[in-house]
Amino acid sequence: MQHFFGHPDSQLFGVYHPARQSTKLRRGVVICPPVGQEYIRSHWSLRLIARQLARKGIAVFRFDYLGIGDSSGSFGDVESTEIWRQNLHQAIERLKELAELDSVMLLGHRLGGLFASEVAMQREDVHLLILWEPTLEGQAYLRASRKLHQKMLDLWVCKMKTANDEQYEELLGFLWRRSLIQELEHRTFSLPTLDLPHLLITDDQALLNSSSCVPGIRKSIHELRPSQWFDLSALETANLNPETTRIIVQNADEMFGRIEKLQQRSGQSVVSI
Amino acid sequence: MKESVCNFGPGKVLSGILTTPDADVAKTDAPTALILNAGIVHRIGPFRLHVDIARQMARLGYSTLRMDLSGLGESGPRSGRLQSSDRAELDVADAINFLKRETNNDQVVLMGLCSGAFNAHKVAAKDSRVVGAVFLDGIVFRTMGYYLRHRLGRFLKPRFWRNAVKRRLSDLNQSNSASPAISESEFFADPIPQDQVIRDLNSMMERGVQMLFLYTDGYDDICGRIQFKEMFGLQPDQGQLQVEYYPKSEHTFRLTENRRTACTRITQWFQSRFTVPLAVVGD
Repeated sequence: MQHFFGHPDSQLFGVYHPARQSTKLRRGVVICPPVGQEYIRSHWSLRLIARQLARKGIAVFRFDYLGIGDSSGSFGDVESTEIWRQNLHQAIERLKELAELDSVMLLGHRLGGLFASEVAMQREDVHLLILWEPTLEGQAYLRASRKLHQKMLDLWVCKMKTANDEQYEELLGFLWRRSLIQELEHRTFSLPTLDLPHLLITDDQALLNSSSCVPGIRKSIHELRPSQWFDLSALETANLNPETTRIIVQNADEMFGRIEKLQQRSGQSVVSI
Repeated sequence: MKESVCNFGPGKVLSGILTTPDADVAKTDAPTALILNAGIVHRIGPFRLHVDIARQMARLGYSTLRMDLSGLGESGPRSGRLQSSDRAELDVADAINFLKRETNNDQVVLMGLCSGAFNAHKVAAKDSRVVGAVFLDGIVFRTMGYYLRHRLGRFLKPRFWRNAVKRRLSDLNQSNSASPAISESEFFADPIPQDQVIRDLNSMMERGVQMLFLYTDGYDDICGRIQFKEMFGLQPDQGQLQVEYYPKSEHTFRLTENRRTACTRITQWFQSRFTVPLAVVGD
């Protein structure tokens, strides 16, 4: 079910995928997409994951952040990532309302992984997390984006300059407000502090090797065929990765199964996955 | 302006976003712009181009439906064994029927980039409800002039050689080469012969269809505005048949400046061609 939600002046686009299997279990996933061009490249995969999860009896909510996709506003209007985190809070509330859930899992992809991690730590009603190729360091992300943008301009048919002033900086097809860039540059999430069960899927060795604050709380999967996010020849290529899609769906189902079993035992506060 | 989700077609599997202007600026008798998918990019368009166009159109008083063809974006698949271009024709017909019910006006102006332009051509050539079309990097054929201008011309440009060397070095340094982009041939399963395209265009001219062709340097098979006449034997003008060539733009309008230029050109063209009753628009 596609619809707009939120305040009429800043309405967000959302898609609700109701659980397709009749089940007594109350399972729900909010998908936190990437931003910018990575959002466009991931759209198909995230839709596919949502449909497959729904077939497994899991209600799913996809949404577009303000200034992205079908949601209102322009990318260049976004002054801080705070609005995108607020949008994620709205999306969580929306899924809880639509599927009558008490808690949800978040699936964060790329920068969506950063927002999902931050929001998960703030809320009591997020009990599971999947981080797929998360971008947890804003500065590194911007550095790589700038490098690719400069390479793209360097290989342009003629000499081209794009906005890079006090107000805006253009990166890979989108105008970023300077305030947004400055804020994102200082934004980082320390994965070891994440204290809820989570699945990490990435080829980033540093993330894979990082410790977790609670033993057994993380399952890490080394992605063998990661997406080429900073390869110019792949800039407009849809990120289709059926193997990872399958892994995510299967693991989400298993994570729900485990937490439900453990929740039946009273006094269980820490869940191992 | 208002943006709303629309579902239509068999089983309402097709979907789109209808952007309508505020009542005080709305030009209620004007046709609706109908934007088709570019390749497999969903209805927001490459780098959100379609959203920019739809919103700019609304500010000028026009409505736009950005739709996903069956099996793309948020639309479900259409049942039955059909070629992709046949499917697209049925999908567009369903969208026009929906607009007729919704707005009581079945006149549309089709817009599309690349495969979107290909699909727009196929529908515009057959459906009399199409009163205008914007073809962004649409159907092209290489001409003798193309080979002279493009092949010889670029060999004389130092930047061409510089970029070729840089690309080559970059490829060699790339440890993990990306999977190749999905071939456009998947969307052009049945290319239309040149003489058929010429007949279609002449037929559309006779029908009074308003046309805007925008080509970019990033589209490898065209070099210069002059190629339009070489391909189709039609002389572009400032009226019914307008053609532009953007030598600094990439195929998908990657840069905001290129997108802004294209958006402004398209919306101004729309305004100039559809502000008076259609009966007197034809040149």
